[in-house]
Order: sequence, then structure tokens, then C-alpha cells
Amino acid sequence: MRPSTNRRAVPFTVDADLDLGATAAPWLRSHGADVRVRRGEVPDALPNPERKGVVWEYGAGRQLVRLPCGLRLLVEGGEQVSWSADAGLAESDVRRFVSGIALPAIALHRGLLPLHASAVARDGDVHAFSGAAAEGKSTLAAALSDRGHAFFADDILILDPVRDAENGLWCWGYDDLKLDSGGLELTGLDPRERVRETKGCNRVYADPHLRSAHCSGRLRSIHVLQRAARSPIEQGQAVQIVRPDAVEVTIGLWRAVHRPGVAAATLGRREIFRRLATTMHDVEVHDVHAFPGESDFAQKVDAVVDRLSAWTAQ
Amino acid sequence: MWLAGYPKSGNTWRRFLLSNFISRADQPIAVDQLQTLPTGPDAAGLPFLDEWIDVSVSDFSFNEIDQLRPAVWRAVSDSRRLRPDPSFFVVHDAFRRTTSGAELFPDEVTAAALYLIRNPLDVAVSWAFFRAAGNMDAGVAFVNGPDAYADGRFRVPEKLIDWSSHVRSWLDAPFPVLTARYEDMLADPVGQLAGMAGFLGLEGDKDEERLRRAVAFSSFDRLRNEEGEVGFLTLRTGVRFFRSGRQADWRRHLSQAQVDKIVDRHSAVMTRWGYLPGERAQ
Repeated sequence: MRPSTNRRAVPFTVDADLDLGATAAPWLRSHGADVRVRRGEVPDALPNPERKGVVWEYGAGRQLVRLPCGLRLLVEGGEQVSWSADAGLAESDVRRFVSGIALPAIALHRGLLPLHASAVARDGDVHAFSGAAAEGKSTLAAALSDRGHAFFADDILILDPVRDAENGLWCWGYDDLKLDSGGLELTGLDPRERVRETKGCNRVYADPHLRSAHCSGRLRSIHVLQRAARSPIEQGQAVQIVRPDAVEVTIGLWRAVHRPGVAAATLGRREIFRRLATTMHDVEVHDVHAFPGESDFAQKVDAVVDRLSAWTAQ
Repeated sequence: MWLAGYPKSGNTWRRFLLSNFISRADQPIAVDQLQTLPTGPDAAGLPFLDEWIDVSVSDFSFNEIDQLRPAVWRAVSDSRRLRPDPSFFVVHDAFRRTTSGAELFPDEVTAAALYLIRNPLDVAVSWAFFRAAGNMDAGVAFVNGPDAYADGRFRVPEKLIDWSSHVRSWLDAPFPVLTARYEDMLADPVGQLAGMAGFLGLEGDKDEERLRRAVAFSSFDRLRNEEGEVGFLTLRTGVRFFRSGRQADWRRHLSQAQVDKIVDRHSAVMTRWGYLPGERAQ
């Protein structure tokens, strides 16, 4: 069953005082938006925070983030983001962290579940790729965009954990494709602009071969990218795609949650697992065991294309 | 508990030695289980830093991550303060201050460090084969610094400075440091492992059979053979991580001029540790 078109295009709208990029356009409103992003007063600390991390603290529905680049973010409930930055910090730097930190925090407060994943889409069906840092999530999505699967999201996939009887689990993307030099080389894509102006930050935005015309779709599968060294691979077989057991699915999905420490502080672990529970039932989860990097990349792409094709044919 | 050492000084072999000792398993730990060894994660690995900073560190510069790393150790220490067993972290950085002036490895969260030292002439050769396609001049530059880094696609760069500075920095650290020479580990691995286990307060440090089994499970030949069969980490490029492991391999690969460059720069520390050519054959 294909999703109907009456599902909301975006789960919330945003009125921001800075450019969040073209891929966020469907989320943006100049008036009457659900969420306001504004430069403003951000405290150095929260009074009596309930939980603290290395760069964040949380208390009474507010999350404060202090980043070493001189940017501070205050997320209040599901409606307000305030930011302040040291003089000289480029707007692109602010954009990166509002997109990568503040908006997922807003989503948490609004009953949604942000996943740390890239994704591609075909015929309204979304297939996501999660995994630890540097496992190649973005590069894989970019490569698949040259194999008939439209690029859908990078870094963050917003999931509605409430199953819709007609459409299943709905998800959204807004963040643009970001690659490092290795990802550019593997995909043959050209850099468009630097993600951050700060010296030493070398990721760039790039335009995928094919981009999804929609920022929403039905989440069908999550592929958890894992280094092969964590699981024995038969000699000569560079890539394995396997269906994990229920425990492994739970672990894999927990690890796919975006900023799990903050999510646990905001919602509590029980609520996160409650939101994940519907995902476990409605979404196919696969483990992709491969060596990250360039050596077996083409085989990994082939294997995932085969897997997605088999799924489409079901 | 820091497991520190200049890259290509036998750090990974030491990890397997200690891990096989701690695990007490009947079977050796497989070479492809490096990420889950009992001796802890790669402390400069992006997954580790992502998890603890709880923000994608791919978005940060070296200087920004450097500023956050002491806070990472404090967070790790806080989370484990009720555990009686030590937590190990493998590090290649020099014992230094961050770009913002803080101690990279804060004294208050540190129990002790094991420092592994190897003849810089052999370090240069090992690095040259590992990362520079056998270019020995690159190996010389790697130990001579002064801006040497250990880097890789899946980790943040670790600042080494140069070989002598690295050694001095760790030996001057304000907490207990046990230094082991790689060459002594080759000559007497059981005795050296017992010394490390005793220093760390690990139970079983006098258990000869357990020590010998850990040494056998971690033999260089076994690690090398397994690497050939299943690969090692991300290395599928034909480059061997476990290449030779030999002592004094430099005699076969370095020219006199290259030896002189290293000795001229590091003679004081090399003398202290018995590495000067001719003085004590290493």
C-alpha cells in the first residue's frame, strides 16, 4: 500500500532568523510557525539542571548546549530555540548546529523520535542507514542516489513513533548531504560549499545525483552499518547483510537514536523504548557488516542495492 | 588508566596481552575483536567521542575537540566511579595541555599510566611501512616531529610532538607511570606482563600458567596470521599492521644518514633507555 498524500508534509514548521538551507525549505514559515529560532539571551548555565553532559545540561524542559566554537543554544520545550554566538562565528556554523542539535531536540519534545541516520527514498518508501560515526552513512546514501534511490536525509531522520493505520510509520528529513574528502572521492560528487567556515572543519555540502522530491515518507527499513571487525565475515565475502535477532534489533535501534544521552535526559529511557517499540514492529532492521572506507565500498553499495531491490519486489 | 605509547611501539600487542590475561578465556581473543577488548576503546576514535560528547564530532575542528576531551574523561570517570575495576583507555597523545591550556589527561581522574617505549629507529621503520609505503624518510620525519600526529579517517588526530618529547611528557606526568620497553617485552613477555598486571593491581599477576597462556594467545605470529585471514580493522589495502615486530629491524632499512638524523635529535632520551647504536645493540 502506498502512502496517501494527505499526511502532513512536515511535523512542525519553523520560523528562523538564519538560513537553514534549501533542503529545509518545506519546514520554514515566515509567520505562524510552530517553532521560533532567534538570536537572543542564552544563560551560561541552567539553574539546578537535572542532567549534564559534556556540552549540554537539561532541566525543567530546557536544554542548554555550549559548544567550543562559541555558540550557545537554548531549547525550550518544543517551541523555542535561542542562540548566541561569539563575534566572528560564521552563520554557516550556527546553521549547522541549529539543524544538527536544536531541531532534533525540538522534535523530542513534540512526541517525535530523531534518529541519527541517513536515508534514501523510492516511491515514497524510505530506507535509513544508521551506525556509529565514520561508518559511511552519508556516503552510502549519496552513492545510492546514483543507483535509482533518491537522497532523502542526512544525519537526522525525524520519526513519528505513532503508527498510522493507513500509512505505517512516517518520517521526515531536512538536513542536506554532507561529505568529507573520502566520501567525495567514493561518490564522484563535487563539493558545493563548506559546512562550516571554521578552520579544520573539512566536510562540505554536496548535491546528490538524485534528490527526493518530498521530505516525508513511510519508513520501511533501517540498515545498521557495522564494521566487519565486529562480526566474523567468511573469507572472500566482503559484505554481509543479515537480519538480527530481537535483542540485536533493540540494541541497534537504541544506538540509532540521535544524541541518546540527551534523549534519555529529556524523555527517560522507558519513553524512548516505548517510541522505539512501534519501530521494531513496523520496520525491517538489517545489519550490514562491511569494512568501512574505500576498499569494499562498491561491493557494499551493490549489496544494499540488491537488498532494497528485493524488498521492493516483495 | 592510560595505556600510552608512541604509535608503532607495540601498543596493540600490549592490548592483546593484557586483554587475554584479563579475560581468562580458554581461547585467544580474535584479532578482529580489537574494538571490544577489555583494555578499553580507542580513546581518539570517533565512535567513542561521539558517544561521550553526545554531539556529532564530525562537525568539530581538531581544536574544538581538543578542548572537549578533558571534559570527556571527567564524564567517563563520573559514570564509573562506583566500579572497583579500572577503566583502560588507549592513547597516543603526548601528555600535554589542550589548545585552551587545560591538562588533556586530568590528574584527578587518573589512577596511573602504562607507558610503552620502543627504539625510535625501529618506530621509524615500522611507521614507514605502515603509512608511507616504505618511505624511510617519512618514518624519520614521523619520529623527529616536531608536529607529528597519529591520525586516521575514523579518529581524531592525536598530537605526538616528537618521540623524545612524547617520552619525557609521560615520564614527567603527575601520577604513577610504569614504563615498559618493547624490547624487554620481546625478551621476557611473561615477566613484563606480570609486572604490568602487578602494577595495575590485577588479580592473578603471580599465576604463571595464566600469564603464559595470555602470552601464547597474543603471540605476534598468531596476530599476524589472523590479520592475513580476516583483515584487521579497516586495513584491506595490502598493508600489514602486524608486519615484522622484530627488534633492530632498522639495521636493514635505514641509511646511516637517516640513523644520524634520529640519533642527533633524540640522543639524550635514547641514551637514557639504552637505544644508542653501538652502546647497546638493540
